Amino acid sequence: MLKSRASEAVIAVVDDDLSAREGLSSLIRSAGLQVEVFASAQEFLARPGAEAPSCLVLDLQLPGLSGLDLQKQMAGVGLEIPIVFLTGHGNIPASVQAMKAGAVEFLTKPFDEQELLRAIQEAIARDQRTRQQHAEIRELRDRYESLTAREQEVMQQVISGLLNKQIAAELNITEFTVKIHRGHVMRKMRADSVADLVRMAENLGIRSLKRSDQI
Amino acid sequence: MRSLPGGPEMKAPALNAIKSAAHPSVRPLRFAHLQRYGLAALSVGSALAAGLLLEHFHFRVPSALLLLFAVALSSWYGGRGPAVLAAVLSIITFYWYFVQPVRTIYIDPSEIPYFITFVSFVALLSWFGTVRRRAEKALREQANLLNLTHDTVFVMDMEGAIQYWNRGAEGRYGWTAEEAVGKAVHDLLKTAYPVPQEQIKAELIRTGRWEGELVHARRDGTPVIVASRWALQRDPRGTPVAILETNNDITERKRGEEALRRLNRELRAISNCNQVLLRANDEQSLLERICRIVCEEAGYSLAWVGYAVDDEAKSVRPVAWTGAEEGYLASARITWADTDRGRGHTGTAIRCGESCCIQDFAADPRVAPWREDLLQRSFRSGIALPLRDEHNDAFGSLTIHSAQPNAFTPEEIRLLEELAADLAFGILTLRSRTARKHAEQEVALLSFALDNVREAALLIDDAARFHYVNNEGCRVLGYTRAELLGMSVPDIDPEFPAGRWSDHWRDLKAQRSLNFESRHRTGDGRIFPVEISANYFEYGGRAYNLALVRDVTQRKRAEEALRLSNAYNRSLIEASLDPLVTIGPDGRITDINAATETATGGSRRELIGTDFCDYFTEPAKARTGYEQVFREGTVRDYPLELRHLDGHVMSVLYNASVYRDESGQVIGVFAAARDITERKRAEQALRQREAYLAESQRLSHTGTWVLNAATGNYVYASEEALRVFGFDPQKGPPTRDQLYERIHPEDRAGAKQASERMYREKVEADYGYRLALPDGTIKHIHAIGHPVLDENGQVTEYLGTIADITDRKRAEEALRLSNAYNRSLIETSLDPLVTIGPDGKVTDVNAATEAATGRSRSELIGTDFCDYFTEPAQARTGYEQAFREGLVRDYPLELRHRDGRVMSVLYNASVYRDESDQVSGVFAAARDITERKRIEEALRRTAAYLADAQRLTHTGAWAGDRTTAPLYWSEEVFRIFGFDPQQGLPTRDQPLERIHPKDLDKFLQGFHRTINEKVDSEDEYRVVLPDGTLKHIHAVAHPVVDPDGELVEVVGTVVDITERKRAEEALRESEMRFRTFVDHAVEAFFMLDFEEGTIIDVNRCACESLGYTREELIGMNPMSFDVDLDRATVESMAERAAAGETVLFDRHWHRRKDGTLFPVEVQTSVFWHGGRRFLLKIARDTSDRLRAEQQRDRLRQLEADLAHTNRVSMMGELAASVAHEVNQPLSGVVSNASAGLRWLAGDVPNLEEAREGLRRIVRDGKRAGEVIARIRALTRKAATPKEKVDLNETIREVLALVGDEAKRKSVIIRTQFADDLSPVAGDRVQLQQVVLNLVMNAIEAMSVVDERARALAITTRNIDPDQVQVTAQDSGPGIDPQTIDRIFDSFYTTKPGGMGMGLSISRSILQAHGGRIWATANHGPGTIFHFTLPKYHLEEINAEVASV
Repeated sequence: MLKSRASEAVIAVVDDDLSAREGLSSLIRSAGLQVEVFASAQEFLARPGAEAPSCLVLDLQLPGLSGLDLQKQMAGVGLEIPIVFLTGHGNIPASVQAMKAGAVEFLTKPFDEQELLRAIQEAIARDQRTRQQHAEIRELRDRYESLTAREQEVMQQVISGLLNKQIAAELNITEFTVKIHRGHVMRKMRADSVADLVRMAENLGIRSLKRSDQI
Repeated sequence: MRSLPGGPEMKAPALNAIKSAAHPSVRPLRFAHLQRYGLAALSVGSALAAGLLLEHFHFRVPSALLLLFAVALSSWYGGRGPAVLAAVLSIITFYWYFVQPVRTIYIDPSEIPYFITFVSFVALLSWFGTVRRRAEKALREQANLLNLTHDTVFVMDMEGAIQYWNRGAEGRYGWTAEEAVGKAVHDLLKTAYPVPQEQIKAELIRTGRWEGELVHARRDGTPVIVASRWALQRDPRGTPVAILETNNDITERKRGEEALRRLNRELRAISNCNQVLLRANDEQSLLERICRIVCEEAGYSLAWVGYAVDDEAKSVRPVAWTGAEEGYLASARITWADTDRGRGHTGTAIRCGESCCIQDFAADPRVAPWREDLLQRSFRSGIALPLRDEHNDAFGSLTIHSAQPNAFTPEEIRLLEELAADLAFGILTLRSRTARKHAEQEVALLSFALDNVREAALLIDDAARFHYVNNEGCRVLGYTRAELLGMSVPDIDPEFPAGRWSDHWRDLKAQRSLNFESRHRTGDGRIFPVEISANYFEYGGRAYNLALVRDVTQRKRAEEALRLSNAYNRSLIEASLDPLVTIGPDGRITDINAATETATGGSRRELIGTDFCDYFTEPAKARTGYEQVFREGTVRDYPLELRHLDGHVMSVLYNASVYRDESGQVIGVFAAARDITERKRAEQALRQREAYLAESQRLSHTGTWVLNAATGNYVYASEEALRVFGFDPQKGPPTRDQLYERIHPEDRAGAKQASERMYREKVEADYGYRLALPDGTIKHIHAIGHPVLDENGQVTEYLGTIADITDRKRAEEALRLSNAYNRSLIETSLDPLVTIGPDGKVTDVNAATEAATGRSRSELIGTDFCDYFTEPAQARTGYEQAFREGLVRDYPLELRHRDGRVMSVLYNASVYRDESDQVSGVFAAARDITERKRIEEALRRTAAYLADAQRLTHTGAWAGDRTTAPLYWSEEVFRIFGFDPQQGLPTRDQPLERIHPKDLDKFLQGFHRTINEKVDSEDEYRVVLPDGTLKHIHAVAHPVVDPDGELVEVVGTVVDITERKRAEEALRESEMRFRTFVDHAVEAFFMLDFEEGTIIDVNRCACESLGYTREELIGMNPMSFDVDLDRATVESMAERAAAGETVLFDRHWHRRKDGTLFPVEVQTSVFWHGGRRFLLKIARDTSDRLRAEQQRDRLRQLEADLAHTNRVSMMGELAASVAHEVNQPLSGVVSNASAGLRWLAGDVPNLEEAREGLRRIVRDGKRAGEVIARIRALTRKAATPKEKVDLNETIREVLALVGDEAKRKSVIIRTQFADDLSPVAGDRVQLQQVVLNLVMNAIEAMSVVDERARALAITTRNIDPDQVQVTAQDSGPGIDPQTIDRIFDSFYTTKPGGMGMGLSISRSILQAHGGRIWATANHGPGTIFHFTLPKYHLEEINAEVASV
């Protein structure tokens, strides 16, 4: 399953050295993956195409913008591409910095082919997870936005753990109306239970009413 | 030429088959000419004769037909010649036949058509004959070819019967043509078909041909693989008639292919095995994986590894196997002994250490014992490969079985042997790794164990030197381990002078283990007694003695105490109230105690030396007693009367025993008297009263008689008495003889004796006897006689009673019997048992009591039991208690033996009762607790000694739990902390409150460190007692841990060191006052002795600036810290100062103790004091001033430094750049090659991608090559121009460059240049670099040295006619001898930031100059670098230049 998804994955290689670039390209393609190569960070950033690559194989020492700079910049704009770092001569501070900033792997040239491919697979898996999470959140947000303002209000109360009676009092409506709104909320949000709804709310970043508000 | 075998009828189909064969090469046929022509004549003749014969029988057949037949026959078999001959003969015959009787050639015209027809027939036949002959000839040639070929050709009919068999077939299958023809192919060749035979036939019939590979069997059974081609032969009608089979032998080719395949497999297996070997870390899994690889990868059916076991049977133990084992190894019982079961391949391989291959199990006699098993598991061949250890001895074997016979070619055997060798190596490596680990663990464990034992352990060799000492040993002996390891036994053991050791060693070697006492001397000269257990053992070919030494100071002290306790006994003796006396063998008194003085009224001085008998009323009896003591060793309760000087007499009972010297010789008698005067008096009174009482009692109960003492006749006998004796009371008393007659004959003599004794000795008689009355009754009589005395003590008459006690006797007898059983139980008890009557008298005892008291049963019974104890009163109290309470348990008493020995016992006593439940006595059982007592006593004494020792040394011992709460305090601790021991242990906080508040934290920290880290802590702190007394305490705490490492408790000592502290304090104060004055000067003052030049006194500033203590400085010569002073300068300075000048040195360097230098301005002047001359030096630190100057110098130096730094860093940059440059293409190569492999490994190999990858690899490889070429070009550019170089000058230049650096690092560089140093040929700059490198290395190396001078000595000299040598000797930490050979390798460095290129480049430079460089360890600390260079020779240089 991973394999089939992986084969659709696009791997971006950024390395200023032609030999390295070609070698990496061939190696990655031989593993049945699609690859795009770039000679510098700027070239990569100017890359056309909407879909971001699933993995970035990045040389540490690049002319102009260095690998670590690129990583920092991407993090700055919220671009979550898993990065596999390569370097001619690794130094510990750089590797620590890279790994701290979320790199998948830090390999020293010449690297072991298996190690690189394994790191790439891991990166792809990580990317898949990220994408899936994003998709889920998006779906949830759509559902949430389909709620009316009143329903959103009721939902807020429900996830705060208030009883129907309390909600009714709070919103100054009858308990029966609350029940109807509540039914709508559950249906529209496709929540099986209140616990489910609370989890969704958490994912959406909706905070339950502060305890201090209740008191 | 040979003909086709078989008859003519077979030829046609055979030849036809040949004709249609793909390779017709049948041999041509032959016919003798004579035979052929003869046949022609014969056939014509026969035809003629036949015609005539038929005619004769009127059976007319046209003769021409017969003749035609003859011609045809001749033509057919004879060929053209015979056909012509037959035709001519036929024509002649014909002529004769037709033309007869015409004799001329004339043919009747009517006959002409007939004739013409005949002739044309003949011609036609002849032509046929010719054509056939030609064909036959061609066939013959082809047949010849067929026989010439090596291919097998044979023909069989459709049923498989062989019809033709060529020579190739003969050679191949071993069957001759004669044997083969006619037989079924299947029987003969046992053909194995790759596909069903029917399928072959079908294809043959469909297409007419078939090709394929077959396996045939030779005549001898061996298989032949052939490439077979079949062709089908049909007759003209198209019916299949025969099959021609042509076979090429491809057995060899097949075998070759097979072998190649197997070799490949084995190579793969070996490669896999090697990978396994590399990764193996456990022997069993290694063996199993290797076996699995051999089976699975190399395709053998069984692989197993067996280890040779060194047991009696020399068995081979299988340890790992894979394959079709099926219990074979368990049942095989293979050995490596030279027996039947050891001559198999495995056994042979292990025994001989050579691989042993058995190519066919079915045939080889060596596998006879296992043949059935082997064949049953389809093993056909096998090889055993020995696994050899480092001594080339086989320790096991790898055995491999194959399902094929002859499976092992030499090539394979070689590979398998290689595999076995690798495997053996792997196993040994694993084992040695394991063994090393074990050994390391053991050593660690052992030394840990030895270091933790409480005895000193010393490992000593045969030369008495120490090889190992444990911590305790160091502690006890007071040396460090390093010191001890340089010492030998005589150094620490005064009992072992050098000469004694060899004797001791011989004894030790003979007995292996010796225990003896000796004395050891500690490092501070103290000698203490030790007990040594020496144990001899040999290890690694050397003999050692492991001596365990125990400090027996404590034991010796205890022995001493014992001696003291004797003195104590003496005082006891003195204190005794009984008169005690010791008497020598000659009967003279040797000693007495005070009580004796009182008893005799003589003083000790008067008594000693006199005869002891003189002091008794009966000296003779005293002497007898004395002699008895001497004879028997002891006398008890010997009654004597002691006469006082004032005349009064004291009755005493003497107990006496001999005492002996160490050799057991009796040296005298010890006698103790007990005053029994009072007792005697009381006894006398009692006896009288008792006599009367007994008398009246007896008189009132029994028969009475009175005998006149003068006449000896009975004067009176009571009725009862006469009745008892059976006399008639009426007849009056009987005579004595009559009386005796009535006494039982057995008792008569006894009775008579008793009564006569009474008469004779005038004593009371009390005896029993039996009466045998005339009527036969037997009576038991108890008779008592008593002499009646008058006032003068004369016997007037005897008065007596007789009682008939027959009934009582009978009852007693019954009782006695029942008691006998209890009695025996009691007797067997080992504890002394005793029964005591209500009056306190012993009523019975057992044997153990006899042994304990030394008295017989009869002696004991009836006596007061209390007498046998040292404390009779206590015994009585116990007895009364038993009586009162019915029971007493564990009542402690001391039982006194007759010989004075005392036994501590615990008594258990209980009352026993008679039938009426009246207490009739006490039964007491004693338990001997002497030993226990002795141990308790010893313990108590030890504790007492310890307490004494602690009190004397002000040392207290304590134990506490982890909360610091005390568990035990010795008395001294109580004293030190001011607590009362009687109050018991204080609480946790009480002692803490007494610790000085400022020291409390320190104390608690130390204590917690002991608890938490489980280490000893040692502290000094103050204790403030409630009365304000301040004490200084030195405390040591030691954690006691259980085997699990858990803290059990903390033990320690506290020592009161108040006195010592006080003394120290006083001393320090006076010292301080004394120095305050001078020490406030800010300049360093040195007062020197003028003549000696040594320092007499200094001030504080001098000490502080130089970092020495005052004590260290006093006695020093300033030259040792003033680096600019040498003897000459000192002398000239002294001279100038003596002349009254104040000598000023404004730039001298002083060296601090830590080696650092600082600039000073020194003023020196002379002053006189007390008639002596002194030099006063005042030194002022000018560091600040100099620093400013240096700042200016630094700027100047910066340029030179920069150049230097450039040179150093360039190399690093170069290396990094080279690494980067090469790494990029290298990375590309690796990626491309990996990708290429992956492209090729796919289901559909992507050749284009792979090819592209290879192209890129070539490109990248070239690129890497270019990088290297560039670097080479770079270095080549610097080819060394040779010029004349003066090395001394070169070195001076370098030193000028680094002088400042050296000074900064406080390194002193000394040079010792040969004045006549020959010039060398070389590049000045490069040689400078070499020297610079060495100097900088040395300076850097010495930067870690603080404890000694940092000195670098550079020497140049001519060493032989052609060489110049330079040495640089530093005082740095030196180089590990292990790595001294590697320091010149590239990238080898010991410096944290070093590239490891400096020395490597130096070596390159020197080698380019024809010289060499090496390093040796200095004799002291540091390293010496040497390099040599050839001398400058003009001619050589010229020659070289010319050649270039």
